[in-house]
Amino acid sequence: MLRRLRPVMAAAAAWLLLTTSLAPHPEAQVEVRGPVQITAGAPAEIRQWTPLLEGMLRGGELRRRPPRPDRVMSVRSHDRADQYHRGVRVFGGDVVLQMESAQVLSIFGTLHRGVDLDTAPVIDEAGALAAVERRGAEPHLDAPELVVLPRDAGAYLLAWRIRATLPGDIRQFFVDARTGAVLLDFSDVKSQVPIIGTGTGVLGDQKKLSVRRAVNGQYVAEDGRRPPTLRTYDMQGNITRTVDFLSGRVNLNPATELAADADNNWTDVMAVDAHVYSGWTYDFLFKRFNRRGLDNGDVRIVSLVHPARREDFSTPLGSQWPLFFANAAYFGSGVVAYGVGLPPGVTAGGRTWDYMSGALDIVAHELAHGVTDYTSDLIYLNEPGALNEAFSDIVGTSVEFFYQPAGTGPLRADYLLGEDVVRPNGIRSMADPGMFGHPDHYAIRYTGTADNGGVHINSGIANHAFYLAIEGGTNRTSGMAVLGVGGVNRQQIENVFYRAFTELLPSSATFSIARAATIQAARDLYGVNSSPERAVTEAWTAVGVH
Amino acid sequence: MLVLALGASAADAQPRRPRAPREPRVFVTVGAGALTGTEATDRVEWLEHVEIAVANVSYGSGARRLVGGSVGVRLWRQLGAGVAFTSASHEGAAGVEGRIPHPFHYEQPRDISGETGALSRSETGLHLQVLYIVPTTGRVGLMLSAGPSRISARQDTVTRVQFTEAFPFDTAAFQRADTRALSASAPGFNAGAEATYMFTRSLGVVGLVRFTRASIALMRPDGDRLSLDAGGVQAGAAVRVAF
Ligand SMILES: [Zn+2]
Repeated sequence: MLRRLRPVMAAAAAWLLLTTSLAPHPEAQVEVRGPVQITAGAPAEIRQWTPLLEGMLRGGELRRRPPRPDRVMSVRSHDRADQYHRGVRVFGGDVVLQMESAQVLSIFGTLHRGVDLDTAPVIDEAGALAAVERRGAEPHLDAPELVVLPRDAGAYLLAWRIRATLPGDIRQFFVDARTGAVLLDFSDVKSQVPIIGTGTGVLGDQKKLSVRRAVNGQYVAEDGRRPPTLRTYDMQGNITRTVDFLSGRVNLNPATELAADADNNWTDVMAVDAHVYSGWTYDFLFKRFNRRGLDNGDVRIVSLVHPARREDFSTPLGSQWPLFFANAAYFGSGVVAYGVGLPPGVTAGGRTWDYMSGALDIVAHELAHGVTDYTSDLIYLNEPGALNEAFSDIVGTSVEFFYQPAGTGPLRADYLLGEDVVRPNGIRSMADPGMFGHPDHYAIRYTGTADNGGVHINSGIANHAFYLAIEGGTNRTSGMAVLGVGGVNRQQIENVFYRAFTELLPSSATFSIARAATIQAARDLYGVNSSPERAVTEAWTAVGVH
Repeated sequence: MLVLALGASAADAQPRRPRAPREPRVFVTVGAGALTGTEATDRVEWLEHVEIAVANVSYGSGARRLVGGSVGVRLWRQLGAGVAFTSASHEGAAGVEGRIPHPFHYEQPRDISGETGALSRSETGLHLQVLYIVPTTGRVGLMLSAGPSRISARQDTVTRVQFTEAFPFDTAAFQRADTRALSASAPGFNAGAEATYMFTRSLGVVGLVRFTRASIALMRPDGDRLSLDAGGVQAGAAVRVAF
């Protein structure tokens, strides 16, 4: 009977063996196998680790790299040692000792305990290289290195580490030195890639920011992903410094003056919105008009935030620079400064003023002045000045409709300007300029000399024409009705005004020239008697411009 | 173990009968064939542009090359016990469909799709078998088998997807996948039938069909698991030596 049962018992034994050898031994792993993190800064902690490290150094389990002098504290040096198992480096097993003379000041590292591995490879270098080549990689960067590769749960495998190139990439492959299988592969390109962060805007909304990591480890408001340089500087409320920069007396230092954040979760709401909305405006110009930034040549965009402190509003210096409070301004060469708003309890025009960069239409408005500067260069006075302002309002509103859902209230696209930060209702209305006392018809235009001849006042006439050409409706002053192209076709009217204002208008354009140029642009783009041409023509007629 | 123990005690309990001298007691079989593949799908997530990127990976179902062998012994009348070993392997691309977050905007992911390079999957199985030898005459024989299995699987798995993107970032393109080999084992079962044609008393050929199955959970370092149906239909031809 025994003889007959022998195969059965053998099978059962094999079964047991297989089962037990495959099952994990958690208690064993926890005690003696696996990675151990070392973070020793206090003398007692250092003393606790020293005997082990010394023993490993003597036994060749740790091998020193040449010490590196400390560039900041010259009396110190940093000893690095790599872990070896039977002469084979343990990948990722190393310790760093901060030394002063012969004294250890700190130890940080990861050591792998309980490694027990035969270090004779079954697969040779050529076999490992062939495995990598089968993945389409060219493994000719440097010689394969035999390493002990830590796996999950305290397991270790002997592997060939091979760096190899693929189109657009350099990768590390780990090839099992027993089976030739690829155990792990990942990209080894350490590029200075721009980083995406998160931030909170002026209205408490969450958005993504395109930033960079600076050498000091801080994240700085410099966009490395868009084609132009896009920087946001934190002027830290220093009016003098801001004025010195704007007047060309000093340059700003990106290393120290860019808006910055330690953890890349940005909380400076003013910087967040200035930086993000500048990028969105650049993207809009590209996507809508195929325009490469303000000059169509990717000129830099520089945003200045915190040009003053709100509490300095009433100081002598602050009152010299109202621009840095309840305003925002384009200063040429791609530079925009955003006002910080007004102190609590202070209103202007019966409205409260928040950080001006918090309104997408304001940011786009200022940058559109840059587009005008590099194109028609409309003179900032009287009628051309009003057209200059109107074009900025038109772009500001178009950008809102591009990114935000139509509606009323915060973060909604509408025909009010600045309504997200100047509460209530903002500073101008394209749908109803009269709401702010601005003319909606040429017959009632402002003819005085204030505001450069009413550039922010008479802009209402062109603004309203733009509004009517899209939405249609009746002009309150003339009573004339316009059939607009409709909100879904707003892109047509945006294209018409963009073409007219950037390609066709001279710097001294009048409202009448603007009418003719937009009608011409509508014909160029959509054909004679097209609905955009009709809508634009009706709109100008309704606002009294012939 | 239960089945085998019962088999053994049943054999003990029966009085031994005189057996025809032509009936072999032990047979050793070695052969090769194919194992039908099983598909596995996986969902991999990682952080990209401060949002979650997702890739749905489908690992191919191509047939795997199979080699194996078994030892069986007739224990009592038509009943016997055996142990079989199988090893199967396969290399094939995995299909990847992913969604990569936009760098500038929340909730505006870009779709990507592509194929990985050749990923390997291998399975080894140890199968214990209760054998039933169907009474036949002549050179042709038939044997049925069933029992528990232990199947180990090793699969190259996708850990994340590399992609290319450029301003204005409204599209992204699949570039390649980062992979990591995972392995695990699990208990399962086997059932099959073997037809033999014996040229001589001790040498013959075998055609066999066997179904094996084990549900294996491959654990990723992040604690997620990839469920794999290991095994499948095995079909093969083999040489048998009987004693
Ligand atoms: Zn303006």
